[in-house]
Amino acid sequence: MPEPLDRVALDDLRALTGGDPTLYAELLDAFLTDADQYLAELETAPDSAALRRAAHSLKSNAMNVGATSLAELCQALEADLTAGAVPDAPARVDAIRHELTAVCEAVGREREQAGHAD
Amino acid sequence: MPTKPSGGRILIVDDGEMNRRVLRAALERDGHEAEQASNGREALERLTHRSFDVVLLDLVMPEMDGFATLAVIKATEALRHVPVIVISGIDELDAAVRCIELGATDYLPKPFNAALLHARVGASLAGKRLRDLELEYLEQVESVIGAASALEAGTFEPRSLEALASRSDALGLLARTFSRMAQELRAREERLRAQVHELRIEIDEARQVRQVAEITGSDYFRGLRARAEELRRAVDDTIVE
Repeated sequence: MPEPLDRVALDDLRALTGGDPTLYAELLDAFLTDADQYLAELETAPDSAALRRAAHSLKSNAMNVGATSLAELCQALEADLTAGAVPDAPARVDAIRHELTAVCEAVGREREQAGHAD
Repeated sequence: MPTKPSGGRILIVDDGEMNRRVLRAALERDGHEAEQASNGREALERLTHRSFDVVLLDLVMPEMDGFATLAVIKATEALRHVPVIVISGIDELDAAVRCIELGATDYLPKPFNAALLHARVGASLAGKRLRDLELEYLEQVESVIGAASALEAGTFEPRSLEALASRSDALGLLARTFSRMAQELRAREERLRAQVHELRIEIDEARQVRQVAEITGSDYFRGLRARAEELRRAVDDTIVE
């Protein structure tokens, strides 16, 4: 099974903190906080505009931590919603939730390591 | 050696907590002061109450998105010159191009890269500072023009150019030269005024002398003087007897 996070992207993220482990850990915490919010928005979106916005935001955060598969799922949903109706949206959100769970676990592990480095 | 300019005040507008934190961390590390807003409406509120050197603006946000926010910024006289860097994913280049056509200064791709963020914010900040300097320069040129008008109207105050005269550039030299010439002009006017005053006194004195001469030279005055002389002699004779 491929690793859900791209190490190069995580190194870029760490570079943005200037190598500060505490700040790096805070950014990973922010990813986890945002992930909960965006997943809730995906699951309760009242219309396609709100669904598209949540997919877009989750995609952006996924790219920050190198969660390429998650970013691709979100990107595809966002693009299809921009093009028109998406009848299988609930199944697509399910797939995103499944991938997001794996990503959050990996981010949690990375967060733990960053905490130890502090 | 040129000194490194101090950091700017940057407004980060993004609905994502993580993006805001990432940008804030990188900007503060570069010596900037960073404030945050989570949507366009909040951003405009902050821009109304405080001046910012650069705005980093995400496009997809709830309540008020980046396009609408950019449109308001560019339509507002007090804000239209604040550089706006739009934040966009690599799959949103069309949107970024549209924003640049609407007046955005540049765009920053996501995920963020520290070197690119540093370069783009630095370039926008330099552009903003150059514009601020140009505006300040124009204002000071206007103050010299105002001083010239005041000099013509006779209301020039040398102290009005003191701050400008302390500049070490050509405008400072102009202000110092103008002030010196204005002061010389004023001193010359005062000297002329004093001379005119003295001439008036001399004229008045000459007039008085002439009037006295006219009076003392008249037959009537001479008659009076002869009569007075006779009276004095009569009195003297009376005392001797």
